[in-house]
Amino acid sequence: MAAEMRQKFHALVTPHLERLFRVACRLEGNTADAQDLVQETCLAACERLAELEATSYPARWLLRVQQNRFIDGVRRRRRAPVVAMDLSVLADGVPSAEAGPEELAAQSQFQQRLLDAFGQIDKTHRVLLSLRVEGHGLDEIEAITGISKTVLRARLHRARESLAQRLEAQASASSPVSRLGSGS
Amino acid sequence: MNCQDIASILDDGDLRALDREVRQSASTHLAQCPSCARVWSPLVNLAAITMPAIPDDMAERCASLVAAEASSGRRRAARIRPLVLGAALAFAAAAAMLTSRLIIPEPARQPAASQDLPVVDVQPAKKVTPAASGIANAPAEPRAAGDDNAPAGGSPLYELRMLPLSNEASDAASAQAVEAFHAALVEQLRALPRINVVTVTESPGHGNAATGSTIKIHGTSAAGSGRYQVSMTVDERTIPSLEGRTAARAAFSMMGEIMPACRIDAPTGEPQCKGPEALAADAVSFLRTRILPPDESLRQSTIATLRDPTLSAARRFQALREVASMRPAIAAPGRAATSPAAGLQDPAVTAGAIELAAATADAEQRASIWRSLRQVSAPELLQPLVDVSRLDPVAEVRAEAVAALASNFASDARARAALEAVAREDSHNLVKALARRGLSGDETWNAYVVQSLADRGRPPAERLEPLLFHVRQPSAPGSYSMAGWNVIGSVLDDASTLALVEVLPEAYAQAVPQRRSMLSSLVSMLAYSSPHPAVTQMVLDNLEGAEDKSAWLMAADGLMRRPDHQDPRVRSVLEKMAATPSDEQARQSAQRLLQRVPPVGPEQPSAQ
Repeated sequence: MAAEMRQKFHALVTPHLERLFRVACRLEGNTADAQDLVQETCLAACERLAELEATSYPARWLLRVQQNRFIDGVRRRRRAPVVAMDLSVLADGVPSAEAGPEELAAQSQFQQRLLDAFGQIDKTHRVLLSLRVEGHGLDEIEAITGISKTVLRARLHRARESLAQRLEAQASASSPVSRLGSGS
Repeated sequence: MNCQDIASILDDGDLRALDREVRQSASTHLAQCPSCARVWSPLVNLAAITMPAIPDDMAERCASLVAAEASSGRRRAARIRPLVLGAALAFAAAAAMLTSRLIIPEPARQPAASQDLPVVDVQPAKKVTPAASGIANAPAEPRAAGDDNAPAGGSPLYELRMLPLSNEASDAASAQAVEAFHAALVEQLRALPRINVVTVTESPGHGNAATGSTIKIHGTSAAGSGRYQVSMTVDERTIPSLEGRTAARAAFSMMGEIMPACRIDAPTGEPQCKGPEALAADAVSFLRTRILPPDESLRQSTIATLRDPTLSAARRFQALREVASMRPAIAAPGRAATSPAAGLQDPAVTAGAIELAAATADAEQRASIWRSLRQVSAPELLQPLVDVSRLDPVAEVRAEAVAALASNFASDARARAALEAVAREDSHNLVKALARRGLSGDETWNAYVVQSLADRGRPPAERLEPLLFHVRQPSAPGSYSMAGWNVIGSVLDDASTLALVEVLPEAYAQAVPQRRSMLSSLVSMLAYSSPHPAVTQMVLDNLEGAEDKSAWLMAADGLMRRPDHQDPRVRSVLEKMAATPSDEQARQSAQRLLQRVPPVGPEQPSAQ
């Protein structure tokens, strides 16, 4: 049974994992929680395997499951305390070697502000904008969320406004450049 | 293009694949329509941020999970939580900086005493066995002779697994430097007591690792730039004191320079063009203080170094920096440090800091110590602060002592007496003003900052001195932290902004490198946050006219990323710079900026 499930999983879900993960990263704002969300989505999907097998658009179906998991907060995650060891910007990959340190710092400051602002907006807005910035158009978002296009347009408008407001609030409350120490 | 067209693109267009024509048309409209610009810019910039790649083993991990569910028949098998709980997104990076983000989970069986820390439902690492999961066992770890530096007869305390070096430096000199860094790192790690360094060919599967961490070094370079970058990613595995649970991931990234032109570090004036060995030493320091299990003996020996009067002040100051940021002993499993400077709260460290401040002849060190101690309100600090605020020969040091006194002991009679004496008698206006601030509050201080900026009778550096003090926040020893725009913006009205804009370029041109870096940060902050048009004009003027354009290029970056409006003149000046071959460095920087901050959307959208 386990082997069969594994096989089905690879056939039905694995091709869409990357997309799920990208959207999950947008939603959660960190890879660890994104991985959790994807795992929860996978579990939920496999509980309704017949439904998944029947659908013509498995990616949309999976994204919908993921969106619901995210909004409902079924996962009961409890956050670990975060210890920011430095005034750091995040660096989990290898930075581009093209830009100088100051440019990278400025760039990352801006991105961090944007991501912080994004993390503060309403969950449903985050879902809609995450899908948008991952390249999904109105038709697809309608199919994923089940929200009509007319309503979607209004909600997207509100979501964009909300993001802009958060960003402006941050811009007036924090520094664009925070310097690190000289390193230890 | 009109507002409706913009909304239509934002609603339904592929934001990562807008063609040039659309972007140009949108740009024209956005330049005239702030309400569209404010919603356009965040969304297209968000779309331009690349998400990290899915972990290689994610599919297999999920497959194992669902297979385990199927075989157990249970509704919810525990998630195979990746061992990394705190991995941050690869949204951004900082070069020439230490970067880290540690997240330490609270073990599930934590007693109620730790309610202030959220509890994470961390799964034991052995949740899915290799056999059940299909996850390959970690390869046998080949150990070179001498790899194991554990005490004879005992198991090593902690294992560091070194993955093969990933060296993508594009030129020979950088590649060599990256290799030298890697070799030096391994050598220095092997010298650490009770640490077992082994080399592995691939990362152990989740849940299969022994106690310790896996380290990956990645090196890159920009051809012809004379710079190379090393980044270190550490996956911390199980730690005994965390009851066998997984703890953290951290990233460390630093830039090394091969060419003789050195950057100067802001707070200490140290050149940043460190050799591979020095960079490796920094990496080791990072690991020792923040990754390796809390080691009370290491902490005590560092405190001993700090308090050893026979050692050089530089060595003792380094010890202070280490112990200030050192991962504290974990009193209860899962307890984490709450502040980068948590180590300063230890009375022995406070005492050592006071002793060092009294002993060192380096005024910058003294100032840095008193600045960092502003975060500590221990009674034993009062008398030294009183003494220093009156007697230190260097105004900057007295200023820091006065600020600490005012911050921590403003209601103490002895402190107030000292502040009154300083406000009356000190020879330096800034120190006097800080004392007055301690006695009567921020209003007089803010007025002093503004008044200094406007005083054309004083040299530029003096005019700026109070503002620079104002923006500098207390931070760990040897580090520099700048206040947010709310702190700076609150003292800058229209007139003082104009005065600042008037004085900044000259002050920057005349500043020593250390001060120049601080001014550069200030300029960037203004560019990004100040709504005053004079700020934009200042940046534009200096992009064209200044000899050293680095600060102004950073400011241009800030201007172009403003959430409200992107002034087309900035792009235009940059385009001109990018086409001017006389200053090659500025030309390249301008080109990079133009590429990275497109007018209205990403230049090179990635495919879905």
